[in-house]
Amino acid sequence: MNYPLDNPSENGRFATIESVPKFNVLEWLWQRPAKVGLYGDGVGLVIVGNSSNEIARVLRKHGQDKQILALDSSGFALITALTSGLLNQDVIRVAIEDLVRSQEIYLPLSLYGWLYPTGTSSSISQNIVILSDDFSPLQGMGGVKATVSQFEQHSEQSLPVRPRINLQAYVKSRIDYLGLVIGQIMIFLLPLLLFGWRVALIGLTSLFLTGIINCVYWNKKSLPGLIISFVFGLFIGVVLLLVFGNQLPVNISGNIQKLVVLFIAAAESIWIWIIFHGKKAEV
Amino acid sequence: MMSYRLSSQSQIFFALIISLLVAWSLYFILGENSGNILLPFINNSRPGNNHPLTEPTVTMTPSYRYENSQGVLYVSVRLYVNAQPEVVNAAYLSEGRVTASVTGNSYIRLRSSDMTVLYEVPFLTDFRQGEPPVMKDSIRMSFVLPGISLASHLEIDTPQGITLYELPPR
Repeated sequence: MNYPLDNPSENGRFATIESVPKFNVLEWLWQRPAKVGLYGDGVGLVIVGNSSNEIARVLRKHGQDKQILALDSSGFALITALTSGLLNQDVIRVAIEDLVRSQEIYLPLSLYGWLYPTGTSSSISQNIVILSDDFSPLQGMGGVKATVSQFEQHSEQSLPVRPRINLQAYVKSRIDYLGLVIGQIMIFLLPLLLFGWRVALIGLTSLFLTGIINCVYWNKKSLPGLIISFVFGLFIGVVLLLVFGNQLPVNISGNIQKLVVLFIAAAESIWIWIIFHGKKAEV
Repeated sequence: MMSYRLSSQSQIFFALIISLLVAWSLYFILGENSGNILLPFINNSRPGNNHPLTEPTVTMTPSYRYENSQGVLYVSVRLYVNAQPEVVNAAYLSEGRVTASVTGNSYIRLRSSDMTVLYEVPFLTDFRQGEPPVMKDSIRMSFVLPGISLASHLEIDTPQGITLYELPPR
């Protein structure tokens, strides 16, 4: 299931963004989606997600000599979006082809090999200049650096430098999701505390556990995600009843009360599932 | 295709709505002993929520809730049309449901050794019994009161008179 991302702009080219997002450590808890488009005016392309922190970091590192293309990754860093299925090869390919129509771009070899393993059509390739990789063109991805000599020594099908999603990338993306869960816990904290510490304890424990279980599992491509998330919530609800069951008054802890606990956990799980889809890109 | 992505404002709005719904739901299934800072306000709209404490410092009112309590006091009294009431029996039970409060012209009170009222529940004395109702000379009523450790005397206050009864040791 793919929802329409805002990647290729409507007029067929990406806008050049003048304003530079600033790094903020709190983005780990609360996403700050930046504008989708091109940052910087150097030679060679670095692709990032529209996470403000990622753009700020890459601009600081490559802003002088590289052009940075921020894709709509729902506010996540590129590696997180790729790992969780929010972005895929096709989206990046469409974005680059959209870019190529209006300007000549300098594409790192490994990125070219990953996107076009069997070569490109002539209408596109005439505007693509292939560079040796002296940097990582896909932010956060391992094994992407290559030289032209490596490219010449191997056939395109056996190019040894294709980006891969490794365990490190998976762990990094899960840490990003964990941050969002903690951010939601902070938002839920005050309303739950207003109703007492026991309400807060159970509500936040439920939110944390459903967040963890969704965090480990979550991938946009795995369907039916909503139903699985609901089932995860019910499972956490059962765990909560086993742990906190004696907190319920003995004579009213009937089936309805237990069902309420189950559905609270399920609702929180679905909310986390929605949060993991990210945010709309800034316009 | 439906997009599940929300804007920042929408995420905050829905997060607050969901958290409040979760809080309300948990509050009502957990009962009133949640350390709720809104309790004094919510109690006004929830009759019977002012549950008696075990170590009271003020005069309390009884509970309406059908909820078992530990260490209650069972009291059986006989009320006479032309005489002051008589306590037939008073004994501590390990568990029981405290008698609900109703409006009435009579009161049963728990007093401490210095005669401070620790607990008070009104009740209605009606000497008509049976169907069709027949006027009786006396009736017997039973109450279950909270087992307050500081209580030393039981007082039955009716229009026919007041009886003070020394409670047995726990």
